[in-house]
Amino acid sequence: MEYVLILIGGLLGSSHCVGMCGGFALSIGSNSQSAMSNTGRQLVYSLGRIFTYAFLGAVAGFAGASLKNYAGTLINVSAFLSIAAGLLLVWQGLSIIGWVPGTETSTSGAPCLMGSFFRNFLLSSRSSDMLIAGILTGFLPCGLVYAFLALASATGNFLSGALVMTLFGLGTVPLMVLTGLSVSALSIGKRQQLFRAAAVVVILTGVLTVSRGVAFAASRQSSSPVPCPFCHTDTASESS
Amino acid sequence: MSDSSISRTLCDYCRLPIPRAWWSNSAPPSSREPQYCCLGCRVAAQITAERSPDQQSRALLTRLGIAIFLSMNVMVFTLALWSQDVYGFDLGDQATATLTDLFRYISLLFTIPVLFLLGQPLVVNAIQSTLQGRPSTDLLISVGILSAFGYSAVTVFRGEGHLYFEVVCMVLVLVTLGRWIEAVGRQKANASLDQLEELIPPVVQKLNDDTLVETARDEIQPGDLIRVFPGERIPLDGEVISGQAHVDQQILTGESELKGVDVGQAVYSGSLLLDHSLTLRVTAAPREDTLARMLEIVRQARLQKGRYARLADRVATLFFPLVVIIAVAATIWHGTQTGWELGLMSGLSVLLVSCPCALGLATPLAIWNAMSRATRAQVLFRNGDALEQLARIDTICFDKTGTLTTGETQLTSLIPTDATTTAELRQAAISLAEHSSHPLCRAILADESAPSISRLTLTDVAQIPGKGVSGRAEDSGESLLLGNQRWMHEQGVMIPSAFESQLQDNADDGLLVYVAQGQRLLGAMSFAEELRPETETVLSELRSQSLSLEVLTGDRQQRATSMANTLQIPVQGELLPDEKAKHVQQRQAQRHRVLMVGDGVNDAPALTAADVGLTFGGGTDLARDSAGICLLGNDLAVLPCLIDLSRQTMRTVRWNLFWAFGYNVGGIALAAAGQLNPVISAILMFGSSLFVITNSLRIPGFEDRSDAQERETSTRETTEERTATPTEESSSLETVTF
Repeated sequence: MEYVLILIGGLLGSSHCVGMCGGFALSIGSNSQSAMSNTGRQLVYSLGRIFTYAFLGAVAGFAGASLKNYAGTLINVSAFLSIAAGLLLVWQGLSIIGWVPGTETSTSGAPCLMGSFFRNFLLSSRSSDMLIAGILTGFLPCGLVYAFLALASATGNFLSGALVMTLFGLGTVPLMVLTGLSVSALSIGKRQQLFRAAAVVVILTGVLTVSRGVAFAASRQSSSPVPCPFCHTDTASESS
Repeated sequence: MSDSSISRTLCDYCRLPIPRAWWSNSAPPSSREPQYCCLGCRVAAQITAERSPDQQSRALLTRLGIAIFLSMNVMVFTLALWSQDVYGFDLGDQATATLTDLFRYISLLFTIPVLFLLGQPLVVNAIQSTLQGRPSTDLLISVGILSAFGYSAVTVFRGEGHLYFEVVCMVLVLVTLGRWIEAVGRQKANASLDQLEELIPPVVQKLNDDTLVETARDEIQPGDLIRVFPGERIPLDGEVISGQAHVDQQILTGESELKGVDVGQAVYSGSLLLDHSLTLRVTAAPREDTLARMLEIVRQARLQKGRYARLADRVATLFFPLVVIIAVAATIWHGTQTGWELGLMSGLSVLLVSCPCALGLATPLAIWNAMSRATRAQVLFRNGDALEQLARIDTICFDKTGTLTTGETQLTSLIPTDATTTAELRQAAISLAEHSSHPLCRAILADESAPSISRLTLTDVAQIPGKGVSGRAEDSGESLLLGNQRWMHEQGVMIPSAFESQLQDNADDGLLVYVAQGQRLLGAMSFAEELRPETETVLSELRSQSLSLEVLTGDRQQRATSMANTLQIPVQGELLPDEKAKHVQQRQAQRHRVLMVGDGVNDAPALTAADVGLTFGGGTDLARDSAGICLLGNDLAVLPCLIDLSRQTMRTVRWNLFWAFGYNVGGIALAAAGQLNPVISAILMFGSSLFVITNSLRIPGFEDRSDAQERETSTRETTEERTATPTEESSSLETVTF
């Protein structure tokens, strides 16, 4: 269930990515002759991005695991990370709708220094350079990526972390590729609706994660089996 | 700073001097090969070269990209191995062992190319700079990385022990990226100067016996004839031999007025020729022309260090040996106490976490950036010290004429005697004024309120210096006089005392000029100096920056007082140039830091005496100025922005230095204690460089003016990447015009 949500989160959330990184996708397309080769370039580019996301997810997952290992006796790391990740997701969801003030202005300064480095790859004609461009794009600061990375760290396992981020990355592929092909199938009104849907999914993922964190925390205190947040009443009635 | 520092070899990328060998005083040997001051500049220069229009080999970039990709893989496999250490795989002993072995070999396999791709340039650069007498931590980092790789490779084949492949990869990637970003930052801070330089065409059309020959600009000698075509920049100072045209000298004077030039007139390098072609006789050798001298001043300013820069410099020279000693000590201590593995890792960590960049660049980068911005706003700083001093001033002394006023005089009123009319007075004055080029006469003619008036025909017109103009009216045969009071007395013209008192009421402060017909006084005209339109706003802005202001002038006390009343600012009148300097010194004795604003000639003593001096002036008289700051733009309005800019810059510098000291002390201590993994150290170093560089490049100031332009520049950069060659002239102009 959760992995599906992540995939959908990526899919819909990428309507937000298009605003940020759509320009990159477009410049990749600008240098190709046919729609066919363009699609290929876009896919390779996205592959690069997913690779970086998976890498970051693995690192985050490992960091979560080591944190659990080192500090597990002091605090309930799983609960703490889940709640933090969930809150971050909710925050991102809200900012997609535009309910968080001051989130419009970001992404400037440091990335600019890297910009000149970047463009060399984006405008290249070779597909190996596309892959590298994708890999580098994956490292660009992005709130949504960070929120899902927090979720990856909350899994406390480097494989699951990588999986979370891979799914997220896969989710972002369709819209980014469409953007790269300059398919303006989405009217502004549609885009708005998509934004809102994305926000709902991201918030839902966040809420789910928070509730799981709360459940972790509760389980630690009561040392009872982990209750599922959705069927909590059922288990409660059963145990009583 | 001695002159020899300027003749040092410059880095071919960031255009900064390559440091000398730290044990000898000789400059690095100059050779035909491009020289770079660090790995970053080498990388950046290659990347820039690759971006040249033909886009041939992209070797370096692709190298870096592939290395990043492989390093990420190594990191993932390392994480997998670590995870297994942390909580184990559930695959059974045999399978786990096989998997572990597989991962170890894959890591080795992926690390080898990274070592070649990025390790090779690092090692080559480290060895080269060591041979040139400038050993850097790069050498020790290379040694550390190679040992880590060797140790891990042996471990793989032995099948037991720790692997450090991820250290090798991540350190190589981060060190390369870090050095590269440093270089880009340095180059960016200097960029606008180079934009100015690029304006001058490298090739000129030399006229050899009526045929045009393309000649390199550097080979032109004074006396040569060259032809310049409309739309081009004038490449060298020269005298017009033939042709008539308009030139735009904005780059030199800041005023975008078109100036007509004609045969026999001088034109200056850097001005833009607008409409017709000109033939010039070159009057100054290349590198001695106006624009080159201006650029040279800015370039020298970059190299002359201020107080903070010297402090950072001194620390940075100590820094290198100190870091090396700590690293070696940490290696030996941990090596003997715990094991050589930890020893090597902590030694490497010390080298990596130490960020000489933050120390060495924190100050100069911020200051160069500020100076570049100022240059774009037509303000030249003679050196970094001037900028540092400007940030600390609390008192400004202004000269009056030409500084707060335009230096032009204005006719303010005509006061006829009871026996004459205004029209009569004006007619006589204008008729005489027509025959003189004296500023007051020009002011009479320029008076816009005057109705058009028929002029008297004059004979025997004479101009008597220091007195006035005289002539004889043809129809009446009477003599006409226009001049000062003393001259009127000498000529026997009576000035009734009743009229004198009337003048006192009418013209309280102005200059007075009298007009007489024969022995009869027609009346007087009063003049006033015209305030610069921006003066009042500027003064009130400066006041709100909590600066105390005063005006020092050589003018009569009476006029000084009236100005004090208009501007609400203390004015000291009747001061000789030396006395102005004394006044400035008095203020300094009262522990004030004084900025003197004045013109370069009369106020030279005061400008020199002040903590900082600021003058106006075109590029032509820059070289002889005694002031630290020069407003080429002739626009007083930039002064508040300028003070803001300098204050902000020094705030950034202090914050950068504070950060750099704190970061280095803390980081090195942790690393030496063996508490920092080299990968983390490399990430920290990268972050610290990035922080210092972005901080320095992001100094606000001139914001309101250059904001739009900044955006324009950045969009231009983007389009530049896409369109291979933008029209050079138009794009460069954007950055220079204001």
